[in-house]
Amino acid sequence: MKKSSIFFIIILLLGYFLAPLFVNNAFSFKLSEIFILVLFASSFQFIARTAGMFSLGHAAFYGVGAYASAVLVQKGYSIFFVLLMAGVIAFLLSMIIGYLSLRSTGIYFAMLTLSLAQVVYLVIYRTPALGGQDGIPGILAQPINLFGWELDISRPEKYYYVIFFTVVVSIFILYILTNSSLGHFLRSIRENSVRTSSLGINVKRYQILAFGIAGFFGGVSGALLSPLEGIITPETLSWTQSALPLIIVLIGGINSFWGPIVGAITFEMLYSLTIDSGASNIYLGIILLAIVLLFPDGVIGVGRRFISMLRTSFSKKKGRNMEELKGVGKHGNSAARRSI
Amino acid sequence: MDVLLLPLVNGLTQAAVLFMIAAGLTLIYGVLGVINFAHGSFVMLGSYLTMFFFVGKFDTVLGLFSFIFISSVVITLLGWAVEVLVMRRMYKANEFYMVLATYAILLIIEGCVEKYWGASPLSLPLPDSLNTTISIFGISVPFYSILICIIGIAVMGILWFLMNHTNLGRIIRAAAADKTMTNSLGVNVPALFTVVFVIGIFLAAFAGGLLAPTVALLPNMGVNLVIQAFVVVVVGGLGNIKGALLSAVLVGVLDSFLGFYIPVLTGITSYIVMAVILTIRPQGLLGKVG
Repeated sequence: MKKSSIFFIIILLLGYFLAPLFVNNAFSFKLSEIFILVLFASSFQFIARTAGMFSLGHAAFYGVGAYASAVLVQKGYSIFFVLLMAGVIAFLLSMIIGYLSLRSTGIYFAMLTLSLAQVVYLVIYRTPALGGQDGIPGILAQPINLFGWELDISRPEKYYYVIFFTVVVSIFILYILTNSSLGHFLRSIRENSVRTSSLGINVKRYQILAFGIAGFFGGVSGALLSPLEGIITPETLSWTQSALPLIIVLIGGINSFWGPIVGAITFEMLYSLTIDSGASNIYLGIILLAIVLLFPDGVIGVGRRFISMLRTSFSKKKGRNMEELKGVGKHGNSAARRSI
Repeated sequence: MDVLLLPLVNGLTQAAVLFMIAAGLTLIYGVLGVINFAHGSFVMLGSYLTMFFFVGKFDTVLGLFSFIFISSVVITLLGWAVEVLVMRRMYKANEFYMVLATYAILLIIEGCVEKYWGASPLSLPLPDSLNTTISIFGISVPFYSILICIIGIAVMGILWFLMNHTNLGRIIRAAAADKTMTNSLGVNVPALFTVVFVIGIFLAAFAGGLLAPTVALLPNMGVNLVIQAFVVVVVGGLGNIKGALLSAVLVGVLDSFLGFYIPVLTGITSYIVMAVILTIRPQGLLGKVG
C-alpha cells in the first residue's frame, strides 16, 4: 500500500472512532449496521474475489454466528469470548459445507452451497429451543471490563466500539490473508486449478480452508448483529440474505479489496433513502441492473474511471503521453470484466 | 390404502407444477446458458394476474382456464421485453453477472407486485364445478389435483413433440450443442434465444396460473418456488428436460411421502436429496460429464 493511502485510512478510522461523540444515537446505530455489513461482505469477498468461489449460501454462516452469539450472550459470557466462539462454530459449519460443495464447481457449486444453507435455515426454523419462527428476543450484551474501566455495552452507542474494534481487526486480518502466501495460492487456483495442483499444491485443501476462513468472519459479523438488534429471527439465514453480500460487493466494485466497504455504505444509504417509499426493492433492482449493464466495476470502478479521466485532461495541459494513460484505463476495464 | 394414495397424488401434483417450472429453467439454461433467478417471479406474476382477471367475474371452469391462458400470454410479452432489453446484452458476460441481472429483475417484479397488491396473502377460490373430489379405489381425491397432473402430462407430451419432431426443436437442440456452428449454418441464434426464453416464461406463467387456486398468493412465493425448481433442475442435470421430469417426480413424491410420515422434514427433503445426489453424481442424474 502507498504511504498516502495508509495515512488516509488512519484519518478515516480516527473519524469513525470519534463519530459517536458527534452524532446522535440513531446514526451510530446505522453506522454499526454498516460496519457489520462491511465485515459480512468482506468475508464473502475473500472467497469470491481471491479464490473465485461464488457461494450463494453465505447467510448460513452469518445466521449461525448470530444464533450462537444470541445463545451465548444470554448465558452471560463476555462478548469477545462469544464472538470468538461464534466464529469457530461458523468455521466448523462452513468447513463441512465447503467439503460437500467443493465436489463440484461453477454453478453447481453455487447451487450446492445454496441448498445446504437452506437446510441450515430450515433446521434452525424448526428448532423450538431456538425460538422457531419467532427467533430469540431480548439479547443484551454483558458489560465488559477493560483494564478496570467498566463499559456498559448494552447501549448501541457504546456497543459501537465493540463492533468498530472487531470489524477493523477482522478486515486487517483478511487484508493480510489476501496478500499472504495463502492468498497467492488461492489466486493461482482461481486462474488455473489444474496447473496449480500439478505444482504440488493440494487445491481442495486450500479451497476448503479459504471457505472456512470466510465462514469464520461471516460468523463473527453475524455474532456482532444479535446484541445490536436485540432480537434474532430465522430470516437472518434466508437465501435472499445470501444474495446481500454479492449485491454489496458488486455495488462497491468486485475487483477491489475495498469494494465491500464502499458497497456497504452505498447500499445502506440507498436503503435509508428509499425505505419510506415502500418500494426499496424496485430501486435496488434498477440500480443492480444499471451496475450489471453499465458499470461492471461498481462505484470504485466509476471513481477510478473519473480520476483517470481527470488525470488525462490534466496531463494534456502538461503535454504528457496521453495514449499510454488511455490505454491503461481501457485495459483495466476489460481485464476487470474478464477476471471475475 | 389412503396413507399411500394421498401423499402420492399430492406428490405428483407438486411434481407436475415443478416440472413445468423446471422445464423452462432447464431449457433456458441449456440454450442460453443463463441461470434465471427471475423465473419464480414470473410464476408468481402468473398467479397474481390470474387472480386479478378471474376473481368474482367468470366463476366457471372455462373462465378459469381462459384467464390462466390470457395472463400467461401477457406475462410472455413481458418476458419477451426482458429478453430483448436486458438478457440480450448479458450473453457475453460472466455467468454471475447474469445471475445478478436476473436477480435484479426478480426484485423489480416482486417490488411492483408488493406495491400494487400489498404484502398480505391473497387467495383465489376454485370455481364450484372444480371444487369436487373424485373417488379412486374408494378414496376421495381432490379433482383439481388430478387435473393438474393431467395437464402436467400433456405439457410434457407437447414439449417432447416440440423438441423431437418439429424443426424448431431440432434447431433448439442444435443450438444447445453448438451455438457457433448453428449460427454459421444460417440460423438466427439471437432470435432463437428470444424464442426459447419466451417458451420458458410461458411455461412458468402457466404453472403459476394453475397453482393460484391451491396456494396463498404472496409476493415472495416465487422466490421459494424457484429454489425448489433449481433443486429439480440441478438434480436432473442442467439443460436436460428428461432429467428435469425424472427429478421433479422424484423430488415431488419423496418430499410428499417423507413430509406425510415425518412432518418435521417437509421442505428439507428436496435439499437433502440434492446434496446426496450431487455428492454421488456431481453432474446430476442425466447430466453429461464436464
